[in-house]
Amino acid sequence: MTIKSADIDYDKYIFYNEFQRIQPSQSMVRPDLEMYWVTSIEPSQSSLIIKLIKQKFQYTTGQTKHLKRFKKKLDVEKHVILDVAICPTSDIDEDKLREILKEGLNVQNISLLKTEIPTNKPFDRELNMEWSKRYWPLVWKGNPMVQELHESFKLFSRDTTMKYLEEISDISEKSTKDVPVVTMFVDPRTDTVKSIQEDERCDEDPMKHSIMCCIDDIAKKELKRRQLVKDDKEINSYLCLNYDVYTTHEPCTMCAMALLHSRIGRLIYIEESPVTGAIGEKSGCRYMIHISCTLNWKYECFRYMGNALPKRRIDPLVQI
Amino acid sequence: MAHNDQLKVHYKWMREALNVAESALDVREVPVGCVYVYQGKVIGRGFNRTNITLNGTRHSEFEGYDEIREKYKNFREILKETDLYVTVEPCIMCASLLRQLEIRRVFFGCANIRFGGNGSVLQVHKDLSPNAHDFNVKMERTYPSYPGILCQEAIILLRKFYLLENEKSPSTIVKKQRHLEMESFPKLDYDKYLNRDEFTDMFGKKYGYIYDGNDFIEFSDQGDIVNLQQDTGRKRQRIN
Ligand SMILES: [Zn+2]
Repeated sequence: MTIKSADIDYDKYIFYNEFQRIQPSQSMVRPDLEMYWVTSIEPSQSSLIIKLIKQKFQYTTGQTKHLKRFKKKLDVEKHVILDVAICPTSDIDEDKLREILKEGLNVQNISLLKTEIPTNKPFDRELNMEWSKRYWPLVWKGNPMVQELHESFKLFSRDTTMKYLEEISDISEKSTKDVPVVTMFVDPRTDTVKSIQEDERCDEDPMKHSIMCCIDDIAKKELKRRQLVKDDKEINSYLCLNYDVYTTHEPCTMCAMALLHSRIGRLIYIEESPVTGAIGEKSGCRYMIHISCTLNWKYECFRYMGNALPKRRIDPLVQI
Repeated sequence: MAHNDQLKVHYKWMREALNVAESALDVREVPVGCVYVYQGKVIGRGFNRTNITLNGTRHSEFEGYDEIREKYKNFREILKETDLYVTVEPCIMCASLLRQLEIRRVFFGCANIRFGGNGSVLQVHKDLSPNAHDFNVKMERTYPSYPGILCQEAIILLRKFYLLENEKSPSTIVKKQRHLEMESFPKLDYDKYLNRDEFTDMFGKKYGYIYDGNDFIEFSDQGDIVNLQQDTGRKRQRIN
């Protein structure tokens, strides 16, 4: 697919003039720091350490693509020393790592320290230099935000999105509920609807927001299915993994976080919730929940900005 | 009530929450447990049931809440006078649930570093939207959250679970532990969760040094704090 640059607004992150991708303004971006074990070696030991990393820490290569493994420094006598980033400190305790390094490098004294390293990439070359100086040398391969927007754009279908938004908007318009919010979960791999739910809050349970109802509905259906086919060997407990979620109103903190726990892939909503919303950059308490726990999971969010869908306003105090 | 008597009460209920959490091990669920206490009685309890239910939102707080709303017609009024004791800091989702239910107070054991909503990641228990004013609306009231009651016990329980699960799983990669670590625990940064006055109002003025030193609160079996102040002039120290 070719990307027509007129279809993307790179400053405001808007696709086709109608779908705004919710992400922090570039000026707001800060490093997400994680503590890493760093060991210092002689340059002559570098091939040994590369071998050791390949053997024991291969799994870190995915999360360290944006990092240089080595950082050059000079010791007091102006000898070149290399600092090597090994792995996050939460992966292995100090004594165990020392043993591995002693064995791999074939030396008795291992210098080991903890260093904070950015797990995300900065957006421009200058910031890249600043973070490299301040934390750890980072690789620069062009503006990652442009790359990220392009990746996101390639997976974004305007027609599919509008089809589902029209469907939930229709149900919401006809709804007689106090809180006419509608949510739909879709599996994008098969383009099938997995659940559509309205807000079910009532005196007996004020917390039945539509998103919670969908997650519950999907879990119960799957439990039933597994009982029927006597299939309890299934290990995947993330039933909504990478699902698309369409909802009429920006969700509250509870629901936005429930989506994160469920590991959805994308959320698309129509109406903003300025006081109670937990997604928009200026909504509620400015949480942007979808990117608040990025070390564990994040999902993409879009807000529909067009005029083709009727909007139902809700009291701003109501948690959606 | 004097501080000492109050503390014994909090100690007792957190022990109860740990008992509930421990029963999760039998069904291979992550051992996080809670009790809701109203007028000196447990009115709801629960442990994490995300595996059994295939639902990643079935945390202990939701389990306990469902029990309460099924038992009491006027549960909304009751919850406003109810305290929650939970072994692990509520996640952002549960912190928001508790806020919307207008819970009175929360006591928790250890921090939830990855998802905590009472200070570790976000402060859902006390944030107010700056936009509320523009719309002339008042948000749900905030609630205080007190960390550190039987913190190490809560962590040991979680470690037990991961150790058991590791034994059952065939893969052996470097990052998995093979013994139950009982000696080292991550420190609690109290000021993420509450300020010094809130801490000393709850635990007693003389224990301010626990807050300053980010020490663990140590209890006798009777529920009295038995920390000894090691040196009065000690500066705040942070590990990590
Ligand atoms: Zn909600």
